[in-house]
Amino acid sequence: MPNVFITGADRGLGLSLCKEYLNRGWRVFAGKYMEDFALLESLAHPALHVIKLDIGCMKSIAAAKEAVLKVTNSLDMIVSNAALMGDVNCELYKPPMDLEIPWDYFRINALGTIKLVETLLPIMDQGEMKRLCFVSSEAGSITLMKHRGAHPFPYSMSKAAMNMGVRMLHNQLYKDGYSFRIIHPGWMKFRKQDGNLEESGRFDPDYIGQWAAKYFETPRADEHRLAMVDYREYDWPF
Amino acid sequence: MIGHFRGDNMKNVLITGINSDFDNCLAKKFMAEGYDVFILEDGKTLGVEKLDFFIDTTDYVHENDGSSVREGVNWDAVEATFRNNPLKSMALLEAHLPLLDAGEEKRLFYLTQSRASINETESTTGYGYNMSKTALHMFIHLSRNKLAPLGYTFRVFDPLTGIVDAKAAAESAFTYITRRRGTDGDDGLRDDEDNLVIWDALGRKHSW
Ligand SMILES: NC(=O)c1ccc[n+]([C@@H]2O[C@H](COP(=O)([O-])OP(=O)(O)OC[C@H]3O[C@@H](n4cnc5c(N)ncnc54)[C@H](OP(=O)(O)O)[C@@H]3O)[C@@H](O)[C@H]2O)c1
Repeated sequence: MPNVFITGADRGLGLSLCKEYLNRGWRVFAGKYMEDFALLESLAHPALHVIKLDIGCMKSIAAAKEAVLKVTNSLDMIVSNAALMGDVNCELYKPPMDLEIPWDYFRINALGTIKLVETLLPIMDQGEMKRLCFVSSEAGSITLMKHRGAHPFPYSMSKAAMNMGVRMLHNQLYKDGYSFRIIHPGWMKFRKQDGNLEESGRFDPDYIGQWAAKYFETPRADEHRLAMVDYREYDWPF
Repeated sequence: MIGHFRGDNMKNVLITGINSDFDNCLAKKFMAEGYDVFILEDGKTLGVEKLDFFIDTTDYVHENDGSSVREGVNWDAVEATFRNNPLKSMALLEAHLPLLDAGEEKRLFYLTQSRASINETESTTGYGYNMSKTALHMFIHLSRNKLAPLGYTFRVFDPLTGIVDAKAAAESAFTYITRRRGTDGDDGLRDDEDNLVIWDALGRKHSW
């Protein structure tokens, strides 16, 4: 039974990916962050292991590793999906900018993502597949930023920084047999506490989750190439 | 070196700090060319009504930022780097925007290294520097979207420290900062100012 570790699994794409991999016969370690959301637990599957995880906290990441080791010595895949999102007030001409806001975004979306991989690497080294998957965003594409007008700083900056971190992992780990996936999932509807979807947004996260689960696990002919793709598997520039 | 160095050129230059040989050579070059040069001093106001050139010399490298994920990244060094490279630069621009709005040139200069190009880097170490500068690159792009319609232009530069002599790099930077980039009459298709680019001290353009 292959093992996958998924972050930000309380709702949205993370939750959808948990369902997908359980259906595909994987053992799923699901990072739980939201105390008041019970959608993850309600999946009630014997191969589901819910693990408390705040990727912005080094201690929490270390504890998650210990929790995995109690069940298995090897992981096949990490899906780094958790992220801080939403509208924040951090713009020029609206002083004073609160710089703790972008710092939180960097800490969670960029540094936490890389720290998690670093921490789980010895367990991944024991796995067969050695696949590292990252949910990024076109909002982190520096090349395409010219189209975006005056967008708030923190989210885009954090996703660009994360993409750089993934590039550096790729520079080192590809030769160790690791393969990589980066996706831009598109504009997804948020899932509410009662399990229903909000109106705004284009895609049901279950639809994107179905595609992403397959894309993450299917071998590619060009594994050596680090690419950010969308649900049509079109390339997005960094 | 801190304080105000008066020149007879009517253009004001703010240099946010002298942290390297390159910064020092660049400040001296501006002085030698007769610019009015201000070098930031903690807690002191500039006593000036406008700024033309904004030279952000923030380019923080932490001595413990040299490990890979296999060796163990020093996350305190990474945090210290992020608190400088994008965050200090964000605060500096916000603080001086009113003076720059009042200036004529409205030209902003930032330092980077090509190893922080996500499309070019071969790095496996230096997570703090590379990731923080990538975040800065995004900050520059987003700022451009807001400020270019107000007449702002941008320069992003790799001085190639250790490869090109600091004085020579400062000469390259001075020319890059003070000259307008390729434009032919009013032909927008022949205007390079619209393209945000990284140039290095040898005149090479790098990918973001
Ligand atoms: N939704 C979109 O349109 C869209 C577009 C492009 C990219 N993306 C990316 O797609 C991924 C999933 O998005 P989604 O729409 O499924 O979002 P979501 O429903 O908000 O799911 C993300 C989950 O991560 C959690 N999280 C936040 N901070 C965390 C931390 N420090 N540690 C662990 N978990 C944390 C969130 O909790 P809280 O809600 O409490 O913060 C949330 O449960 C994200 O990486 C996002 O950046 C989304």
